[in-house]
Amino acid sequence: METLSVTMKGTITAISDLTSIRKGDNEKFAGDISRMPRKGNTLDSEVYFSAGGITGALRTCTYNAVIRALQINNKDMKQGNLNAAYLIGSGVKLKQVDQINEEKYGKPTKATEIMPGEKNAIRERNPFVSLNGMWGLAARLGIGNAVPVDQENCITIVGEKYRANLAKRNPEILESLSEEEQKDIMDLIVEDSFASLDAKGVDAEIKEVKKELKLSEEKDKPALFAKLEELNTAKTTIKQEKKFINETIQRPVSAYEAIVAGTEMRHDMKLTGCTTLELGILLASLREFSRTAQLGGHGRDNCGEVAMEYPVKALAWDSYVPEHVGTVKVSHMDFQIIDAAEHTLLSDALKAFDEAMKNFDESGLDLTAA
Amino acid sequence: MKPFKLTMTLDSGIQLFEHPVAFDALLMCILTDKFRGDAQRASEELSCILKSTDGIFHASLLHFGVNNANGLIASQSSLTRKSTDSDFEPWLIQGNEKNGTFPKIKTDGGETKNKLQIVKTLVAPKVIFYAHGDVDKIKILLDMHLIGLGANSRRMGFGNVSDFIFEEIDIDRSLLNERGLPARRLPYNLYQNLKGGTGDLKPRPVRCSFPYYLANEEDGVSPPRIITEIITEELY
Repeated sequence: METLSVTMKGTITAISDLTSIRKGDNEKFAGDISRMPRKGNTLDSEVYFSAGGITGALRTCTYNAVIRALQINNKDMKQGNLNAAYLIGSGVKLKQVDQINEEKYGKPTKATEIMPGEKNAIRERNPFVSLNGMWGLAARLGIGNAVPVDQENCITIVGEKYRANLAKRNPEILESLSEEEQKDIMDLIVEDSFASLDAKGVDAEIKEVKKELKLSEEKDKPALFAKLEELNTAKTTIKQEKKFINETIQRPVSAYEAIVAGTEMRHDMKLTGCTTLELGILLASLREFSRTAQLGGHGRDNCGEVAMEYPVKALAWDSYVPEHVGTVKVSHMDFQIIDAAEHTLLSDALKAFDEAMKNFDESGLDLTAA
Repeated sequence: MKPFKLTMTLDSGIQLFEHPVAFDALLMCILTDKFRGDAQRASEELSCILKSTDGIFHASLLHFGVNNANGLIASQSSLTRKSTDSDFEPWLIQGNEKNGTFPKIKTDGGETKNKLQIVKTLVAPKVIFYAHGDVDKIKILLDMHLIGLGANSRRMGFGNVSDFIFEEIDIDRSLLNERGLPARRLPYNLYQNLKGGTGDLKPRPVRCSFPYYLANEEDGVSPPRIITEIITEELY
């Protein structure tokens, strides 16, 4: 089969603030606010937007694009079930998938005994999973981190706020409630304040016991562990005894770090040994992505809107001369393919995807093949 | 074919495998992907673009390029994926249960649970490889295919590399480095030949020939898993 290697080396521009939090990364800055991933261990290390955030968004878009196209073409939606959602959207093979595939295509060889061509058969039946990968099947699409070009002025801290109680902020809502409900709301406000105070006391005690545990001798430890257990139960009880909700409403919401709006980031995506259809699926995923054009977290704070522009180069499997085949532009509600002169690879690839979706039943494609 | 030094900027922490990254294995991996899993053809192509002696490719292991201001540091990161409500919208999932209802999805355990894995990474300003081969072809292969090095580099952003700088050099450093120490795993006989019979490293069982994961262990010498090299300021 003739295959292609495609490189999309371009830029992602943050239209609004852009944030991505990786839990493990924050342990480096313990006690601090949520920070962006960094190359090193210090705050002045190079910042980047993690590839994981882009990978996740695009693979979800792949599944959405397929389902949308099948719905547009009035296809049987049995294809769009939970197995396919997890397989394409997350790269996770649910238990029943193996059984379904065994019934359809025969027993697979063990993971330790590689059968030549077996994986290519999976890729041909399910190019959606071939593009994005799953356990044991490498993704054709490689995605890099988005690295701000100007590292000096790319970071801001946003999102620090205080969550107020609705009834305190807008007392007029009480007028629309019954007397009983009004009393409930007043109780809720009082309970909210006291519960957090009680929990604070227990938290301090837990901290003390943990400190003691570190310094204590082995023989004293069982008693301290028992005390810790008791305190944890007390904390849970305080929450459970609350009449209305377990968590406190009124509390400060901590700030987080974000890449500042307007920052330009260099970003690479590389497709290795792909077919035209696989390239088409990637373009369809980007087209689907343009519906929101949002990456990362804190969307409610208007974070995450991006614009992307990728000049595209392609290399045939038997060649060492890459050719510029066009440019792909993605932004909110806008998706453009600009073919280079004498090249129609990008338009043809997207057409191949649309055609495959139109003739899905005859195409031999299978969303749950794995 | 010419001996060359390849320097790349490391954009994010690299998650090393149990074994160090070898340049010949990296090219083989790229070629196998390029030829859609055809390892035979990839192997033939590798022999055309890299020089070999006694079946050993002239390609070094990964060297971390450090300087006085930026050393090699250990860092950590995590891999996670959080399931959100939008993943389970009714229009995306068909109700396969009785009367078209939706299956219950357990997100606090089992296969559909969040996965959070803390991973250890290494950070340095540059990474360096030495090799002897067809610079033009290797340049295009890396430019078109390579996103990163080490584990989780193609999808999760670990070990991302950019700015490939190829320098043609006079002396081939892909087998022995400037200090005369092995730059890659070498069979003991080849090591002694290269050292003129004066090599003072003792032989130990290593996998020298390609592909490493299938090769038998033989008497050889090996550099440490993590190799550092002082880089000069001109690279900045």
